[in-house]
Amino acid sequence: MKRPRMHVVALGIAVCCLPIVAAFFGGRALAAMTRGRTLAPLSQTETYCNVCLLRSNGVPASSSLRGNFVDNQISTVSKADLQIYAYYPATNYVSCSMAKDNVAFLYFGCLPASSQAEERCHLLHGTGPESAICKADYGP
Amino acid sequence: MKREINRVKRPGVLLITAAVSVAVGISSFTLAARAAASSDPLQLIASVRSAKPGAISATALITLQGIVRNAGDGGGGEQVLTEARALPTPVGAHASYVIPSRTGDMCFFAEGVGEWCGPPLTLTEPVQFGVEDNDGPGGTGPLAFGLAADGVESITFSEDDTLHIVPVHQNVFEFVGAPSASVNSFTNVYATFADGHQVRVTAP
Repeated sequence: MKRPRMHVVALGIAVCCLPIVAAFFGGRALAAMTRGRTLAPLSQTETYCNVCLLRSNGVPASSSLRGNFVDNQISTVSKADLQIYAYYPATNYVSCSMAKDNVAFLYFGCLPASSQAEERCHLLHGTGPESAICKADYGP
Repeated sequence: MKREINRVKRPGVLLITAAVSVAVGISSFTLAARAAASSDPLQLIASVRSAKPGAISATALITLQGIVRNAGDGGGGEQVLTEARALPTPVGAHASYVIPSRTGDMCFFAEGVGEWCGPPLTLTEPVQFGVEDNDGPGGTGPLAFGLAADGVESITFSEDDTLHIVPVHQNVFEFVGAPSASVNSFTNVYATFADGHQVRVTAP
């Protein structure tokens, strides 16, 4: 009986193993993603109010100016009337705005228009002063 | 001699009575505190009572895991995602979920819209009313949406002096406002129960 050549055997093994290897790495990637960890960081976070005191006069905390924010959030120690939004200083325009009374956490996944915007958080209706953490993700 | 014995015994009886009273008091307090802490934040939301906990879409799970990780301790970081329940009614065509929190709060997440965490619904605060506006004044009108407790049939509110009555479907309601309206345009919000009585609701 004729013995198969080495490179044919190697090719056969490679073809057989490829789906197994692909499934292994695919599974790992899926597992990593479903644990909340993507393999490569898709976005970065700017904490623009790190345990800052938001006053009852509604003056907001502001992030830096960027063109690629993807979401915005605020957490407070006690419940308050909260609002988060994107602000465009050049045009005095507001978008990606979300408001809710009597909560301790508010999150809005929203893409501001491509022009440069600040993400902001503040208190409504004279509630506060309140210690808060405001963060916005941007990127990639 | 008998009197002397009684005198000696009485303080003992008093001490035992006092100790028993203190023990009963402490036990009652502990039980009451436990009952308060373990009260189900979803108890007034019939539409999710039979829903399977944790049965949420893969994309919602990934988003929520990101939110929880990013939020850290307190607030949105304390959500128990394994206890998330899908609501049968979407918000603005987006799947929506209620999620209990370790802080005793209840979170309401509408996929592709947003999320908040606040006190669970009660009969005195039977509605969570929030507003979002993607594109600001002049574009698509703001979306007023939220959760209502069992028995709430409709939500009544003013949007820039125009009165609206919005029906509640399976604990969820939504309303798209006028393009000129903003998230702060909604006032005088009331929940109307099936028997006609109304409860004033806080709204942004």
